[in-house]
Amino acid sequence: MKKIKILTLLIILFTLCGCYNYRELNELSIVSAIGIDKAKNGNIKVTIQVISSKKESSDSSQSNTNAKFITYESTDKTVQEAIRKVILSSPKRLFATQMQILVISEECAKEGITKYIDFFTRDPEIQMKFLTLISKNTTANNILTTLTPLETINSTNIRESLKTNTKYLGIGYEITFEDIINNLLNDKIEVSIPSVVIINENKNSDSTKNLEKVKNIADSKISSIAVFKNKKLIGYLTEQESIAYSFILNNIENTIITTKCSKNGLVSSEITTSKTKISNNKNNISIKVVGNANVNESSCNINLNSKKEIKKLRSEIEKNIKNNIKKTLTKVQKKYKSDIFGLEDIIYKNDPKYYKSIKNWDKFYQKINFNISVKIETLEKGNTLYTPERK
Amino acid sequence: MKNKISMMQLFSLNIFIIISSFFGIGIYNVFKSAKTDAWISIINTTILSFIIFFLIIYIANYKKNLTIGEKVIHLYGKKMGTIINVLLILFVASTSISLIFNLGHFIVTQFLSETPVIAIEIIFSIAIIYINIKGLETISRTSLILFFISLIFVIFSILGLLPNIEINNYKPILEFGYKKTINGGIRIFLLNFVPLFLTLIIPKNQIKNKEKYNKYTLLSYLLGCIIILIITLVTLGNLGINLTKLYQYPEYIVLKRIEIFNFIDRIENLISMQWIFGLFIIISFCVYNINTLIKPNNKSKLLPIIILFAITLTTNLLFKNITIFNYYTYYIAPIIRICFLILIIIIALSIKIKKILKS
Repeated sequence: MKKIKILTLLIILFTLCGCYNYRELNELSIVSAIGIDKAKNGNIKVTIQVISSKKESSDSSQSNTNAKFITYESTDKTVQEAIRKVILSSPKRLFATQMQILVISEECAKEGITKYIDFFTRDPEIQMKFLTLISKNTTANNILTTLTPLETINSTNIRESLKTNTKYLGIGYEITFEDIINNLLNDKIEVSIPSVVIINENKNSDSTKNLEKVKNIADSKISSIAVFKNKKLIGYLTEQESIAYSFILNNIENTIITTKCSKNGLVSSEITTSKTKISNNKNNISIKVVGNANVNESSCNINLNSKKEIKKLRSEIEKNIKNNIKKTLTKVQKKYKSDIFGLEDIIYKNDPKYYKSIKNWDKFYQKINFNISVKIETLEKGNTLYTPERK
Repeated sequence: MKNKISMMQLFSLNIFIIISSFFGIGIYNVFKSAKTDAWISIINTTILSFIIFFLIIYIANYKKNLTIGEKVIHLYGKKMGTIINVLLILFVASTSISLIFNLGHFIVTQFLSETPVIAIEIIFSIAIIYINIKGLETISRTSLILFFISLIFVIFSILGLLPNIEINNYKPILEFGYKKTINGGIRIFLLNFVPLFLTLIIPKNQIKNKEKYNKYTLLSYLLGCIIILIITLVTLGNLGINLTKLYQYPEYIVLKRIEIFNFIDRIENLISMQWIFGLFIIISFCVYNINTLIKPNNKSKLLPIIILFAITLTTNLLFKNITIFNYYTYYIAPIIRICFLILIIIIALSIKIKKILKS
């Protein structure tokens, strides 16, 4: 009797654990990136970049020039419908869990991004950790079809570029899709997203011929920050302003500041650490940046062993960062009238009583005064003690 | 009395009752009502939980060899007692239907999107029926084992998430005053602490070292409160209020952010087993409750099957989607729990009156 019971249970278990979600890897198309454009008839055009699972040729010289990804394009009224229709041309089911980037075209972003991104928040298969970018002066389709020379899969190229940029330059910053959703849900902060452009765009940029060149190679490049107001793209910061923006948001890990040291001489210093604190006293916002720097290059006859010279150089760097921040704040405040810095959120969280007294934020925002202070605590000289010119 | 359970096993059952109702249900309620002050609500709940503590201690000390069902019959006679027991059964059933839906819905939405929910429910039902046929000792022993595993997962997840906490996510504090935090506190009290009465199905004499009953019960309440307080703080600190309110299972979503030493990541599915363990134990305990209330010392193997079948069927008929479920947990479930709390208070008062009359 006991044996029959165990047998019955085993049979039931085998029938029930039958893996409804059973999927073989070779039956899936691994999606690495999705691009969203506006089609001519007002529909949505979706470009899906899928990692190629074709067998490599045994001839190594041939395999190097083969594209390691393919793109599918589909157009329909909604993102979901367009993505689903890719099935018509793809023999495998799309699997977007490992998606690396989402590129939204400038045209769509100008219209407002919310209607294009809702799908990605609802699908449980999609991890919201992928990076999001705006395609500047080009379409998302062009971005995703350009073959890049250093990374075989161009979405990896863009993702890694953005990561390296965040770490060493600060023009863009890594913003995940989840961060964007968080900002969109918060009515006290405007969205800002890094952009991506194509350099040397040509008719062969989507063919392996592009990889055979040594110069003028079409390639994707991380560009400056796209500014949004009411969830719509309204403009871009310049590269210097993007760095200043990263300073304000405390996103700077490393960056280069170049200052004048003589009439024609320049000093390039690397900011090695930086920390920004924003606080408010009614409509006075104070931004305090504290960091350390390292002199990396100098074309002047300056004595880096002299305390006076170091102090002067430090003060030049501080002035440079301060002016850059001020310029950026003024531009965003006066020209774009967009609160991408989340100042409303800062006042709301730090001084809720005062926040309640603000009747019209847009008017109030225009009256905000900024007190910026930048302090470079230490300035290192790198490997050398003086410049060759001085010797 | 045969098949005694240890104090530690009861302790683990108490913790599971408090925690498992928090997942997907309690957290949704507390953040919806108290927003960034949800953690203050949990502190309010801790204070309120003393009401439950004293009531349970008081009822448990009356006729220590009887289950709650038998105590009711003893207090009110067979006719009236049976009516009250039916009400108790309905309460336990209402708790278990929400838990079984939560379990199935969580697995389907997060892991197995193409699997019919009924398949998941059947698999769990087999295990639930099995440990119910084996009896209370097996349920409590399983609970203790799973409690230690869950505790390791809880500690691991907290350690993994602590570095990512953003203090600004807790601000502003008390923006809407105390009213909303009290509302949130009452909701958590009703949803997570009132079901602690399920433990009254275990006669005090069936517990080893029963002299430590009060101490262990109080400690389990406090530990339960601390765990849900930490879960609330860690979830809010990591996700912020907007994302926390966006998801049905923010405690699960936040686990995706765990990254320890830059190489231990994407472990959310493993760590979220703690919720599945908790839900499994409490559903099993609910079935045991109904089983014992219907037929004390029942040896029949058919009754747990019928009970679970009825619960699963009701769940699937009642909750067609998550919107209905959320409406139920936010508006209807607290009312059911209030009614039940009143019933328990009446039972406690009846015991008091009986004692006075006797003396």
